[in-house]
Amino acid sequence: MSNRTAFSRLMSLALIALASPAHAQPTTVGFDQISAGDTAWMLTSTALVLLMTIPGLALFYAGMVRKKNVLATALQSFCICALITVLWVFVGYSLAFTPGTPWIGSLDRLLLEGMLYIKETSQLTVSHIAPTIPESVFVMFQLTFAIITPALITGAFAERMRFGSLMVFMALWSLLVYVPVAHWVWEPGGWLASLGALDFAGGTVVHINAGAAGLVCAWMLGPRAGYGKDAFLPYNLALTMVGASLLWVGWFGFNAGSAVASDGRAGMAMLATQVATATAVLVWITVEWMTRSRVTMLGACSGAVAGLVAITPASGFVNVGGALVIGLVAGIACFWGATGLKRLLRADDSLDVFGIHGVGGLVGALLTGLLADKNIGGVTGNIGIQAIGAFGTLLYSAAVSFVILLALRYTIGLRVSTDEERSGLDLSLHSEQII
Amino acid sequence: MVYDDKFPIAAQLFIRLKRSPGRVIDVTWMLENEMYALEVLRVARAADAESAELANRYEALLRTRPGKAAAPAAPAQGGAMFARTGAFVAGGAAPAASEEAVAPEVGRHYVGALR
Repeated sequence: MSNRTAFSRLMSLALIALASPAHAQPTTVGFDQISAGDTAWMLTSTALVLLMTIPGLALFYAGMVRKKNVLATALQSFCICALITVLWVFVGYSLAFTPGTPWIGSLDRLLLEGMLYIKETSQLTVSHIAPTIPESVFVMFQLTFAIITPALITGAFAERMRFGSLMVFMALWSLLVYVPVAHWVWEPGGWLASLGALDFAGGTVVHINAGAAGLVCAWMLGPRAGYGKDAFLPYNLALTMVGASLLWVGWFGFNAGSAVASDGRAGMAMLATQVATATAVLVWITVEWMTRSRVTMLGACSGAVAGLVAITPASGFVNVGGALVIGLVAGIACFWGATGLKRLLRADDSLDVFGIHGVGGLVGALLTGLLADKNIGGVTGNIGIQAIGAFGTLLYSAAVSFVILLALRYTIGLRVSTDEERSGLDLSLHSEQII
Repeated sequence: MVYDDKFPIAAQLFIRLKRSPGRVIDVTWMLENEMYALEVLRVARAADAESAELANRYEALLRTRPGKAAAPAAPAQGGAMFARTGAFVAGGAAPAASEEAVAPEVGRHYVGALR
């Protein structure tokens, strides 16, 4: 598809958006219509993706902050998990995964209205997006993505944000940013899906989205006291390694689960994920050795996450060769993102959320446009459309995040006091401490 | 707690003194040996204003340690404690490696960057 065609389709979508929104209730089917294999794999994938946030991401981040902020950092991921779960069943799922308009879904499914499981008649409902598994499983699977995305952002403002402000920000961000973007990309009627943007498992919805928000958070909250002058020693990089390993394993649910089926494409996605991740680890530590004469644990973990992020949008579209290329580029680009680019941006993005998730997401989204193999996904990519999706999401996420943070700054405040920051958030906010 | 607070200042002194006037200090030994620390502070005060300010902050932390008032600066024992370039040159016995202490290059790595 040419870029001119993409533009004309974009204009058409804008007109469609003005028309009356569509409404859709889930389809009720008999138990015999459900695939046991698909359902078993999606239940497993859901558990794997939840494992990525708690305890995966919680440990990954907690190991990198100073000792006085370890508990507060892990607590953030834990509480976001609870908060987003409630929001998701109330309104998030309905707005993200019902047809509605190209920009946002409908409110027809508030509190999961219409979702059925009737043992007596052997009937249950399925989503139009995942017709072979129970809707309850699809709701849960998508919920785990909605949980990890805001949890990723916490790394950008680690060690300095007020807990109450964080919870309010995450609630608003989830509803105003994550939910619409998920609708744009993954609901078949969403404007990016209609354009033909490819995002198999969330390179745009999860990683570019979180990376952009993280960068804006880092700017808006300002640097930590002593940033650039004092050495901020990570508490325990062994925790970070355990967290990164949980992320790596959990990512098989993230990517291969996004096939929403227990089939060969899920297998290809899993293989591509492993190959790209391993390649990115090797590339990152090579670059590290070439530039610093050292290979570090944090570098290896960072390379793994970079590879995982970059292969995410491509995992169900590329072959093994494509995965190797993506891992190679991601290892170099994300190393630069977490070092050179970080210095250029002059933001205290504490745990390099933009440097790894933002940059890795952009690399993956754009390379999917170049490397998508028609034999695997049934489609070929278009780098122009991929760029529209990636940069459109980046700009939208950054802009809305900025507005939310601005509103919070002038109402309940964003940062802890200097004394609280010096004492550490564990003690000053939560009255707990690692001895 | 005091140890944790002293480390970042010692790491900054390591960087500043290495840059100018080109002296290399041993941060680990500085944290463990007060006499050596005081000698480092003397050199830092002579270096420049910002190093002197760091020296004052470090000395204040030394004074807060219970039962350990800072002693007057002592001259280097048994020979030079610094080298113009290269590694630390011990006047007496070399400091024993400590599992608790953080090597200077580790601390320097985490100033303004994680990766």
